[in-house]
Amino acid sequence: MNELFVNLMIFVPLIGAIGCLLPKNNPALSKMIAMVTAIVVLLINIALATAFYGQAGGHGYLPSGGDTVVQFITDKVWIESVNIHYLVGVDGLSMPLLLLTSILNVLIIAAGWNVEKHTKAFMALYLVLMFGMYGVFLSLDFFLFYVFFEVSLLPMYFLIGIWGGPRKEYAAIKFFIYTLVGSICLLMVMLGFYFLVPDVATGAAAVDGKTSFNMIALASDTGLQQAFSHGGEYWNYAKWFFVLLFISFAIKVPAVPFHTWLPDAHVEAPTPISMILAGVLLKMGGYALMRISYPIFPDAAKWAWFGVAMVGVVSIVYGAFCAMAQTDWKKLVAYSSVSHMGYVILGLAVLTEAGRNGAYFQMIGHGISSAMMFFLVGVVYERAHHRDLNRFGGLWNTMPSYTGLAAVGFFAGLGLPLLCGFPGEILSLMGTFGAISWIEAAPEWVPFAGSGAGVTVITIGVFAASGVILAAGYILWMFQRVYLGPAKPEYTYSGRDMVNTREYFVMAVLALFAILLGVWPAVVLDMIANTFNAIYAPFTSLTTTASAALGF
Amino acid sequence: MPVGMSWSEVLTLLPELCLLVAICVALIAPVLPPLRKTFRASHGPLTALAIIALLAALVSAMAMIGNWGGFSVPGKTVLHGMIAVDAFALSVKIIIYTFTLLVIVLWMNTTRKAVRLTDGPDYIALVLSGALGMSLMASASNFLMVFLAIEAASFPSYALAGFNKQTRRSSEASLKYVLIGAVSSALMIYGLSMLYGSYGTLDLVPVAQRVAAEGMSVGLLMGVFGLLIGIGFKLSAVPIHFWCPDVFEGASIEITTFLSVASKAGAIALLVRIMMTLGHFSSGEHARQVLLGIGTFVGLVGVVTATWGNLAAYYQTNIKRLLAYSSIAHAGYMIMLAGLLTASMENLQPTNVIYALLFYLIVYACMNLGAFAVAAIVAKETGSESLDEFAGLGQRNVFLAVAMGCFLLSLFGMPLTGGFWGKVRFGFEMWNEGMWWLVAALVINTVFSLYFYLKPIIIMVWKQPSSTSSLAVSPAMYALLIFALAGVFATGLLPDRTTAWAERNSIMVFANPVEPVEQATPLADALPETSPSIASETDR
Repeated sequence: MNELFVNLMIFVPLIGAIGCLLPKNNPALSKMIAMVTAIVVLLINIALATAFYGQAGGHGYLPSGGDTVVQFITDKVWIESVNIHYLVGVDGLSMPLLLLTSILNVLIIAAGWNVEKHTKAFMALYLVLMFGMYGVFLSLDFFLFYVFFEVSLLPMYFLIGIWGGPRKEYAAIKFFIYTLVGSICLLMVMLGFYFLVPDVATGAAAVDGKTSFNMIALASDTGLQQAFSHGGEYWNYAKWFFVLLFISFAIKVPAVPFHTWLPDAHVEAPTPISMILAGVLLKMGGYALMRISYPIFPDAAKWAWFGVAMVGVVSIVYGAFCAMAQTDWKKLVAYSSVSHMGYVILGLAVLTEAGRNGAYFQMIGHGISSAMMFFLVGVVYERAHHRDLNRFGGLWNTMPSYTGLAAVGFFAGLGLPLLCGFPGEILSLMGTFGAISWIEAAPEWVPFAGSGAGVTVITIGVFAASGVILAAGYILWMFQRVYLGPAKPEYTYSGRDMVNTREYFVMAVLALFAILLGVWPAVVLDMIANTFNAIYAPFTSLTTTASAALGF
Repeated sequence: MPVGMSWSEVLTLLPELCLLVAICVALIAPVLPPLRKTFRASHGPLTALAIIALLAALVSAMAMIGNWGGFSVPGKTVLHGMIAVDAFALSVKIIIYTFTLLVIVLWMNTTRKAVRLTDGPDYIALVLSGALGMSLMASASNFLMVFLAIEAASFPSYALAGFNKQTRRSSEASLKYVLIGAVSSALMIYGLSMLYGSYGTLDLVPVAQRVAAEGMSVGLLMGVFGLLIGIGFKLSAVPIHFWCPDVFEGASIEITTFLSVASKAGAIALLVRIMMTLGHFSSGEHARQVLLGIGTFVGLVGVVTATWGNLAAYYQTNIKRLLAYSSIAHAGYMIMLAGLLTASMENLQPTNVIYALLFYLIVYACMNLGAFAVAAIVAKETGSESLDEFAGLGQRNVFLAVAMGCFLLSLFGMPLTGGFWGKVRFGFEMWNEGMWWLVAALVINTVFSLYFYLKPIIIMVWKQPSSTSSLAVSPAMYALLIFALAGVFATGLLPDRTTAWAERNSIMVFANPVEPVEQATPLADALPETSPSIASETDR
């Protein structure tokens, strides 16, 4: 039954998409079909989560563990000649992101309720996008993952390109080409796996002399891991593969210097599409790093830690400065995404438990806060028809309830304690400082290992932490310019122009989650704990918890 | 020994014979007084004739390949080593015949009726003789036959390129085609005569054996050079690709389609057969060096061709020119793969390369057919082949727009379409061989190509059309498009069946038609003995 649910999550959106296309000249019905589809998938997801975390033998809402923590697996041979399987299942790594996706889907379809242009096609494409997103999070076969990774690209291209702003074509094609270059790096790695794996695999990573693209098997096969480890037969390959995968996923995240597509895409995309782009699509990059890069290449990850951490820190600081310089409201939020996703990269780079937890939490937290920020911008943009920060002012007086919710959203983005932006950033930073202990003790092929490690790590940490202050700077400055000050008559809305119930609903639900995750971060951290322990076993020997390293 | 042909040998040429009969009928019947009226009144009998002939050829090729009812066992050379009838050649022929059949369907639906009535017989005869030449290219195993086959495929193509008699462009294209064709034929003949001069034979196998034993020679160098010019001309390899965009632009669309797929399929099959034979007999250090050189050179030609095609396609504003450059790029990919066959034999399983190629040909045929068919429909409706005519196709006929999008993305190599698996297979084989630079070239070219494949899609979706009336499409064209779409997605979603078919049929025979040649044949006694011992030893 649960296996069926997993498959349904992937294919119900596709059926919904076809359903959306059927009614003629009835956009309202198409919208209803899309909404029903999203709700059905959300319900399936909740049922799946309940089943996953409530299993007998588990304690509390943790899965029962065992030798594998992946559950509800469907495994069918898809393409026999290259041994590609249709292999889907859930584990703690995917479940919170799935829940985030499902919740956002409902809200985003509600947010897109006022799309007038080609409503039918919009909804259908959105549902195809859903199909791709669920596929990415549920597939456990590397090739299948790749296919879904690409499938999610195409609807996004059209969603930006058809419903976007004035420079939509440019933004859409830039998005497409950037992400596609990433996909091709991914393809190169797969090509390498196809030839290299069978020679060294001792376990499930190869079946009958053919590579199994099963990501779990690739990460747990001892022979393969031996070959990919430092000094192993494929050590050089491992480094290359890690770098290629990193480029591929860093484009998606996006990290500086691969980020330039994001501001364009966000500025041109319509509000609901900005929400899903920031809320879920960017997380595919982080998720893929956690699912593929780090478990399969633990030693290469140690070798690359400094470079990856630098990418993270530069993204945090550079993104924040860029955000500060913007006068386009949406561009500001877009650059804040670059900055915030930097914490995900940094948290992963430092290979500590706190860092990983922080990185994961940041993805969920940012998924809520960025979606909310983009919606908040969208609500005003639809009425004011511009996004120039310097022309706004005094919205606090004219739209008080909206401003109250906006405060929650933007302060969550700022990283205020007790809101969803905070735990991720702080854990990621704690993890960074905690990395001193293992880097000091690391063998000398790890960059900056040895007694000088402390200075390096602390420098990185201090720069990363400055991102929090910069975030406060640009968010508060923006808040001041838009919401505070004397009321301006052109931003006084009444009658049909007042913020309506639908919009309040979207904002309220997002605000609720922002607060919930802020005061109770454990709800996410506990969901991922067992899976993290299992798939990051190669790192556990070198990690101590951040609190131990910092002495509290 | 008397030159004799047994009936079983004749039977192996049944597909070609079917075409030959139909060509004769198409040329003679319409001028016979009792039949003239019938042919003037309707083109039905003529197209029926062509379709029946092609179907008969198709069925007989399939019967041979599948060994239906003990019809024939593929895997021998006939006519004194002139022609190889093996699974590889037959499967390429199947692709060519099927494609020609579809081209005729396309012709029936995109050409004006008056033109079809007046020029129908010539047209059918020319298309069928083109197909005949192309299928001989797939089978040729003697350099003389190679030359004849290339010419047999080229002459009808020249005429077909100039078939739009009213337009200057068409005549210009035809003339350009003839001139470049003549030059390349001359160079090929020159190279082959040098080859003959130093080896004393024109048979593929003895030449390959001698190369394996003796290594490099001037004759070989010149011969390979000439052959590459001749085959490169048919494949539109850089630097002899200049005819391709002009001919594609000048000729009517179904001819363009025909030339872009069937002609290239035959040529690539020929190249593969030559490379494969050379590689097969390679042994010893001499041969290694020579063959590595040849393979690297061919690979390089492929890389240059693909890159040139992809870059030149950026600036095209005519859909046919765009697809012409796209087909140059695809020919480049296939030439790159052919280079592998002699590059190094360490890990290489030549059959894998061949079946990757067969698979690619099938996919390529489907997606090119589809793309050209949509272009033909739009061109017929709007009377222009400019890319701008695709403006707003999404509003005028959603099915056409979506189908065109699928074909273009498949040409690019999007996952879930056949084009993706074709390229991935190529990448697998190149990597397996350790040819890193080929994999890199393939990948970089794929990225390059994205933009110009997206360009028509952008226009279809975003540009406002000049007329918003919906665009009607005949049922036959719908069927054709659905067939092509089915091909693209069947090879993309579930490639296993096609792969298995290609794998089964990737067998090639190398039969030695003459006694082992003595070493160092002087030029004087170089006349090949036509030996009767047609050794059908399949030494694979």
